[in-house]
Amino acid sequence: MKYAGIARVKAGLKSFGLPRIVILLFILFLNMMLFVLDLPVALTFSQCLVRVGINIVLSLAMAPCIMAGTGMNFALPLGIECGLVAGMISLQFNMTGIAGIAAAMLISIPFSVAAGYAYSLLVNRVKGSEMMVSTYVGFSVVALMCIAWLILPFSHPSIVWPIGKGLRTTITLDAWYDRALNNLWALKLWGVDVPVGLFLVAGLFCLAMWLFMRSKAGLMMKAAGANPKYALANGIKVDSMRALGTILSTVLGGVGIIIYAQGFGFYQLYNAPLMMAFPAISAVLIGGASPKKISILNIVLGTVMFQTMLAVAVPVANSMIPEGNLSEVVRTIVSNGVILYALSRMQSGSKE
Amino acid sequence: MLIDNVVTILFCVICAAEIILAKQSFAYIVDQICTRLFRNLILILALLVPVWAGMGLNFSIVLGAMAAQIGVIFVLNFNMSGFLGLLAAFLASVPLSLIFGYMAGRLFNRTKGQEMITGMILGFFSKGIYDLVLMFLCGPVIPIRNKDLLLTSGVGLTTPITLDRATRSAINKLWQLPLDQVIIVGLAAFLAFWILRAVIGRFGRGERIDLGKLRGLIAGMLAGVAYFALRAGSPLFLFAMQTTVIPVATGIIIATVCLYIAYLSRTKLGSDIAAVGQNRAIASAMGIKVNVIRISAIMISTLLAALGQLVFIQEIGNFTTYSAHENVGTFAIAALLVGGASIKKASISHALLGAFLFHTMFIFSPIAGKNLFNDAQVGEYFRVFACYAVIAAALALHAWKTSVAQKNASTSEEK
Repeated sequence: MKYAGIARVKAGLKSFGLPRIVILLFILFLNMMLFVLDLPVALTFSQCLVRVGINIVLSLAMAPCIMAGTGMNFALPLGIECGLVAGMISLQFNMTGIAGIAAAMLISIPFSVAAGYAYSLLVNRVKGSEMMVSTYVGFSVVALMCIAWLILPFSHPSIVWPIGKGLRTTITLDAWYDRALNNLWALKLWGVDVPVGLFLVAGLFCLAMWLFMRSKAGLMMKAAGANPKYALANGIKVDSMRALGTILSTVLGGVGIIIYAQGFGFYQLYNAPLMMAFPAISAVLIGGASPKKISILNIVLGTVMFQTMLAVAVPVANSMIPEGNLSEVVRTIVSNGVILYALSRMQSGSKE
Repeated sequence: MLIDNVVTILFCVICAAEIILAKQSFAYIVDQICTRLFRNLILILALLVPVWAGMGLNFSIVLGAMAAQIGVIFVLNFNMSGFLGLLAAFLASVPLSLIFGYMAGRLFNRTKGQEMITGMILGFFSKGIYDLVLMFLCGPVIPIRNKDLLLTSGVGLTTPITLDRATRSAINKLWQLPLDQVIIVGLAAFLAFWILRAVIGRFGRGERIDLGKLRGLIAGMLAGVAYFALRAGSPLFLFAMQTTVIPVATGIIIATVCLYIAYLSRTKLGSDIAAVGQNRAIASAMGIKVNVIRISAIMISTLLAALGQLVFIQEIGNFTTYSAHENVGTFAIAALLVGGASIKKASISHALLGAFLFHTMFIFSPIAGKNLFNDAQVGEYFRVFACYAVIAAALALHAWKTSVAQKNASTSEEK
């Protein structure tokens, strides 16, 4: 009896995954240090909540791709660039406040759908190496857009360089919609700012995705991803499902970056989106997703864990070791370590 | 045929256009291209063996670059300098790169079929570990004797790390000759080789002189005539050839690496690597230890990458401590692909041609961008784009071909 109990605990731990345990312990340790070092706890938790809220839609963008069987969407920068173009248009035409954010999101959708569709044509021709191809498609798009930012005809004096040409590297949103969602219906609980409006919007997207996963299209997409041959035999158009997954993911990437930018208070152009797929990917993997399976719980849990770790690590690391950027190094190690772990697990389960 | 070489042809066109747009002197062009070739070739050659082993393009050569950088820091810490210092740095990087290569190989054996994405993420991951060690452990935990290497706070290494005068370009400075002389001596040696071969064939083995067998001799003679004609006819050409200085010692190292790789492909290990690359299941059935061969391929690649990065660093004379290795993999891979290599096939000639074309583009993009758009930035972004796009296109083309081949195979089975 006793042994059976231990075995069950062991099996439970195994399915939970070693990295997840390590990260959970690390987060607990960081939180303890927050109190031990007498750091501003309420402020840190406020930042933590904002981080979760503004990152969750970007993490959500992984869901349709994984469901459709194209793996983790390393080409997320494609959607992000579409969102940035829409964002720049909203700034150019002085769209402010919540309406400005909504307008930017709406403008981003046609761009994202077009780009996502074009990209899905490629995705359907490179089955089996989607992740590697998507990484470099993402990188190429970012580099190409760097040239575009220099030559696109934007003219609003606050978003282009005063001298020379092209858009600025960082555009602060003070005059448009800086933190508009964060401040919407914000509450103060025990000194912690709770961005209710932001959470409502993020929750709405999660709910929509949850419903989609259970809709007919969602189930067909899951079937196409899980077993393409079987799905095809059952009359599901696998390629269309993969295309739909890619387009949805791109749209979420575009919308996600607008929510992210308003939460931080600025748009970052040029090379900033280059590595933005990685935190989103790491987050869903930490939450328990795999390159083949994902749920809303994985996304929410993963984003909360990953972003809490980052938000708490910054003040703790800075007060323990003021030199250098320890929290950045920790982020690099954890985020890529988790992806490596997921890749190494992927093989052992499938062929060979 | 055309579709296979489309990237190479496109790059020839881009390079030609950029050279025209850049409006630089011929001597400058030759000098720049030579410098970059000698600086980067070994890093590109380091990619070949894993391709033969069927592991695709080894994005984890970044690990070799890190090993070389740690080696350089190691010798600077003990105040060694000059050529011997660099030799010591290489010796220090050998065990490191072999260990790194072994660990990468172990990981790749767990992720068969996804080696490239694993290698890329492994590069990012190792960068985190590398930063952790150099930025926070050097000083408080790892004692550093040479205080110049440390930041003023005593924690972490300074950046960039600069080599002293004696060490800077120490390999390059061992033996330098003008390009003109190198070409003449090279041509003479080439002709002598073919003449000797013909003489031995005629008198040693009593063969008849066969023009078909002597195509090397004829090609060499034609090249020689063309070279001397250009040299005599164009003062511009002569000037460029005489002012461009070639680091012969570095050239000898590169030639040795080429010879080693060519030799390797004829050994037992080389044929095992090729067999594993062809088909793992069959190789395994033949009694080849597939996993061991794959690990060896990555170890060789990582070791060569360490040598390549060392040659690179000594030529530049300094390196940014925390980022010098970041783009090593991407640039080397893009260069190899530009030369006409693919995920499954890569040779020394691909590496040579690719290095030439890629680095020509790299030098002239900003200058051409400045002349064309009045903005050097456009050119700089363009070359980064070209670099990523080449890799994306090569990966996509390969994946496309594979899936078409699979589809054809499965439909023909059904028939």
